[in-house]
Amino acid sequence: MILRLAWRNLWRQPRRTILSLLSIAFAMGVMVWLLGLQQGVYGQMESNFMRIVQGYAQIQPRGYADDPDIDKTVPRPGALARRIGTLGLTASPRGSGYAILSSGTRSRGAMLLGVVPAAEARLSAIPTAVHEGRYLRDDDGAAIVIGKSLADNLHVQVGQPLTLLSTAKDGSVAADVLTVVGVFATGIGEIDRQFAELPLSRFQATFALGGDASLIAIGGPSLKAVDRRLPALRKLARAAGLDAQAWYELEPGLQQAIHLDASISVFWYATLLLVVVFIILNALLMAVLERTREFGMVLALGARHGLLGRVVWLELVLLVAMSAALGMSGGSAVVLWQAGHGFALPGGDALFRNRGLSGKMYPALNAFSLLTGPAAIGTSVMLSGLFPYLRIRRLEPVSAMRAV
Amino acid sequence: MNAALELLLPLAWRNLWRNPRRSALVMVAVAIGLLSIVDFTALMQAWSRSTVTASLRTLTGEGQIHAPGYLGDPCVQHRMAPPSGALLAQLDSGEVKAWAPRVRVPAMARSERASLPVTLVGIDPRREQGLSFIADPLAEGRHLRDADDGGVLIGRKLARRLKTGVGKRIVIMSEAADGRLGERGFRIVGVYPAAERTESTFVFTGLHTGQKMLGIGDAVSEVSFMLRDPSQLDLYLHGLRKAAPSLDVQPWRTLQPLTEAMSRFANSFVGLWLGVMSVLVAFGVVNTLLMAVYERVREFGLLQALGLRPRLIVVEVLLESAFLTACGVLLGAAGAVALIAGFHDGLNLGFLARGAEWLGAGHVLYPQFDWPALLRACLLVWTLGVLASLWPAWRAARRSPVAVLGQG
Repeated sequence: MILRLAWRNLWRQPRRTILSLLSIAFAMGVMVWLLGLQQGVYGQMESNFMRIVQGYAQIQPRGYADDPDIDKTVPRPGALARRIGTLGLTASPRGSGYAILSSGTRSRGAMLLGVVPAAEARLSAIPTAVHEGRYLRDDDGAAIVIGKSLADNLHVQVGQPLTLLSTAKDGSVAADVLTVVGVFATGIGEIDRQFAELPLSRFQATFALGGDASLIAIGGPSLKAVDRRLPALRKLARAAGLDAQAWYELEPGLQQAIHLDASISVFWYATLLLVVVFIILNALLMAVLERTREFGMVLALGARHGLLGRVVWLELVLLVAMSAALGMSGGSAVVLWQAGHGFALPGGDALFRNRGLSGKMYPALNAFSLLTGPAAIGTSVMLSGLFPYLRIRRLEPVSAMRAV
Repeated sequence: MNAALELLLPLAWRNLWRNPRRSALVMVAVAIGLLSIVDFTALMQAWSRSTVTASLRTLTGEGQIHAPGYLGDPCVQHRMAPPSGALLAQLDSGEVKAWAPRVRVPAMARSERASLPVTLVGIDPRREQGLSFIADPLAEGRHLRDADDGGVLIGRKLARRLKTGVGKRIVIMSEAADGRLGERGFRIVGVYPAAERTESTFVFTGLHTGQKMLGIGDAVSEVSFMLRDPSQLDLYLHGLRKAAPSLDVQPWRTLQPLTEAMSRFANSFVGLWLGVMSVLVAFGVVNTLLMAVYERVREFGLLQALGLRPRLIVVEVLLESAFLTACGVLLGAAGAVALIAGFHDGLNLGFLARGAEWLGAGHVLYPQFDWPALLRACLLVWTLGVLASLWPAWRAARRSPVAVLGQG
């Protein structure tokens, strides 16, 4: 009975109800969309950025993160990689060090990675970023792939030799002559200017690593899947006297950048919420004030204050529920459409490309992005419903009936 | 019309306060909406400014002059003679706040423990004042004394990676003018603090020391400058290009395209937020005025029956809305200004400083008043509020007096 009463009351002023409904739904939809956008872009930033070279996690020698020295190594990386494989993840042992690369009279400092080509193809973006020549193959010997700007600065082309000069693990001179088999362009300035990859076996021989690796990069179906396996990875690493590093430990700046954006945006969402609450509070007060006489009459006929309060409250609940349905479906429709097509803002293109993202933003729909906004707005609007409710509790039948 | 306005103005104003609670609630909604727009804009602008400043101070300057080819391949071969003649006159003119010649080449730094790729920068330390971060206080040790100083300044991160420090020696290797790999030992005289990427990239020494090591005589890699009035950049660049037609003169926008992109991206979000808030404010105004009009139908009917033209009723409702939104806008503007003023010492992002650094901004944002933007936002919200009330106004005027008076 109460429900039907509330429902009918709601439609006594259809225009006002629709306007209130639209304002709540619009705010909820905007929140679903913006949170979806943030969630999507954060996810893109995390996984795409980590995927370029670092991997979603790494197993490193103790203290390597602070001081990536060539003396610090992971012994028997093959056995460890197989055990990581049993967790359903991809493991790629790598050698890592700095060297001077020279071609003719040109020389440049570069960051070298010794890699297992087949494993890299499953976790790094570099194999797919090769645009001249080819990526490394498992049977390659004296081969190297280098970044586009590095190749340009060294005046070297596919098929030409490069000299490598550095210090090996045992302190001796590490020197080698390698043939450039491929040039890659990731679009990320630092990587295209500084990175080069050669086969791990060649790296181990040149840098006197024996059978050791510098670290093990870890990939998987998704960044979240790797994160879920972190406890197992840490246990595995500890048992071998090594450290497991999650993506946020490898790239703390990225995680902080995300936290920074998220914490600042909370403030803007709060202002959005307040505007909605004030608009609705206004509509609610009107709805109650204009019915003062009617309420007085009903009270005089013997209805209890509690019942009246419940009816008015229920009106609000119905309003919020309809708005939520509309706002959430509208917001998620936009999110889902853009998740497929992408959403571009002026200036975003260049910015994202240099962080390893495509030029567009792809929002993501998940429980958090779908429910947080509507729940926050819904709760605040229902709380603001306390004001008219309290007003009704104070009504005296006689004076109320005389009200204009 | 004037007489009608004389009648309608006080009428609209008084009508606004017949239901003070309702009017106050809408005003607060409008005010918060405006505050949100204005402060969002201020914060985004502060963010862009911080990114630009951080980028310009990291050796970019407002513009740079190079030998053609240096930007694509920054090496010792692409060098230029130090500024002289017409170019020197341009640089020494009153428009320039600071300018400095530099040697800047890719190099390798080697300590007893490790070797890392770096960029060797030869500077005249006095000229970097007001131009780049290297004139700022150091973390440890002393600054370079002059262009002949034979010591080096390195970043904190590089010092850690090379396991070295002030007083110790490092070897710097770089390709010299004759194509050989030049090599020279340096004593570290100071360690500077900066963004992590900067700290691990740049090694500074005296300009003349660098020139000697590379065997390039008095040639330089680049000239960087800052103007007294940044808005004159395009005009000034034009003058520079005329004075040095054979050199490559570029503004920071082309040198640091990402910084430029960051500013444009921030502006896009300002536009987006403006749209969202405007729609909500419009909903609020329409809803309130519709109610206000609805409960006064009889009154409007009476006014019409007494001879007030429907057109004037429209004007009356519009005036009410104009007053209502104006009060909200003024309230919001005052709040926004107060909030910005509260942060005039800067909004410290210290708690997530590395995140700000990762995105290329400084640790402290300084929101500033942008009076034209504030005025634009106020006018926009106000106009929108008045426009939104056209519908309720039209409804108020449309009802036939007879039908309305016969009701209830």
